[in-house]
Amino acid sequence: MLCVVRWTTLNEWVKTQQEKHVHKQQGNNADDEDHNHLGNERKERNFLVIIRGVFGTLLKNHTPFRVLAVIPAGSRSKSEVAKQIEQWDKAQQIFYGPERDTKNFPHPVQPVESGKVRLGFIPEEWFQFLYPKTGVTEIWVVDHGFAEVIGFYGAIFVLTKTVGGRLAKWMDDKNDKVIEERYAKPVEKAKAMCQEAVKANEQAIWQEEGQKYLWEAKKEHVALQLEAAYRRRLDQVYKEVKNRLDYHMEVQSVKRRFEQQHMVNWIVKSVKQSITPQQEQENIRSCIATLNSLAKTA
Amino acid sequence: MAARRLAVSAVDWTAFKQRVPPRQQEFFKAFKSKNDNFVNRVHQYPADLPKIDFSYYKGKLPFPALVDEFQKGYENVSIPYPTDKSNTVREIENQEKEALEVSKKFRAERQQEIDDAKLVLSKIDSLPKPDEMTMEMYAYYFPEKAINPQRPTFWPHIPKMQPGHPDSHLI
Repeated sequence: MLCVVRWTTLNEWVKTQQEKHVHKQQGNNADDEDHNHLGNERKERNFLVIIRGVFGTLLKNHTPFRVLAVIPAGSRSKSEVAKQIEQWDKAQQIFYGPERDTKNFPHPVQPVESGKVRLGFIPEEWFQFLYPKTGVTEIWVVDHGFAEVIGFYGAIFVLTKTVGGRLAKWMDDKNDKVIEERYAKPVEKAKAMCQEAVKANEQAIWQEEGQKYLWEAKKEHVALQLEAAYRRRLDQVYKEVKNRLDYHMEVQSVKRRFEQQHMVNWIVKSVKQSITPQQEQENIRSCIATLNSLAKTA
Repeated sequence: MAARRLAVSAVDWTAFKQRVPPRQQEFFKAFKSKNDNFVNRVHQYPADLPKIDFSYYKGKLPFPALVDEFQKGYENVSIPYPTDKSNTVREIENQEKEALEVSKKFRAERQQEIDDAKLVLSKIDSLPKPDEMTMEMYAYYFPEKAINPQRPTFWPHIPKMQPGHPDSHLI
């Protein structure tokens, strides 16, 4: 049981790692309750990724570099995690290394079942304690109070037989729960956290590498603008030349139209001038005669 | 003449879009529309000098010598390709270099985190099981956490209650 309790610290260690992580990003956060949830942790990680990315250099002007400001980049030769792992390796070398004789002196393991007992609860070893010294395993002293022993152990025996099994089961269940809560779950959580970290960071690196497209596009924009300017120049030359030619065409057509108009006017005017009043009267008279002849026939 | 003549964008925009984090998609959209704008501006005008039917004008106009002169000039005209006078490309390259350094640092950090996580994943199963762990082993595995008389702590002995912790002033 005591050994199990010590494992709470692994849980704590995982928690402090998470806390550290959150502090890195948020600077200060009083909401400690939330850090226990892995979901929240995921959110924080995503936040971390968003700070950088393809437009990270553009964002520099909009959002403060919270993450980069707190973690001194590349300054640590060995991370805290690496140090911790090194410590684990050292301990592993001491307790499970080649110098440790695990064959003759195996590691004591907390037994699942209790050892052999007498009378239902007295450990066997207590009786064997005297054997090497006295040659016998027990010395019974029968005095006038011995009658109580019979009653006392009788009661113990009855209790062990009636509620002992249930009591043992209850305690075992409790122990299992403690192991689950303080060892299995934290280890699982730590593993999930690490896997998540690997995934999120790989994604972040992949997205960061997308910056090459940004710079390519930026350079391309310059080329596109130059091309547009060049094409505008071509268009300008074309339009200027064509405008001049069209101008001459227009001048020619105007000239010709004016000449035609002038000639028509001149001819009409000359013809009108050539008609005398006598010719006009004769013309009218012949017209009336024609009308009269037409009226008769109608 | 030009180093290269572009009519369409050569950047792989779909691949680019995939690499943009969700929160930066708006920036991406704005950037893409800028690019579309530039491409449209290019396509506003013809790619080459358009042909003019000089024979038509020669037939209509009474002074073919002038038209000839126009034709000669038009066919031999050399239009200079605009140059990047303010050296924008070099400026962009400088910016790129700077950004690349920041990016490199960032990637190194992310890589460090990946390495750390993988290291923990590889080692976490080799820790002794709870029913095998003794106080002595514990002190070796977690020297920071084990009871150490050299570094006493205040009750209730949890990190955030200790002086110097960022949250200690809240309590």
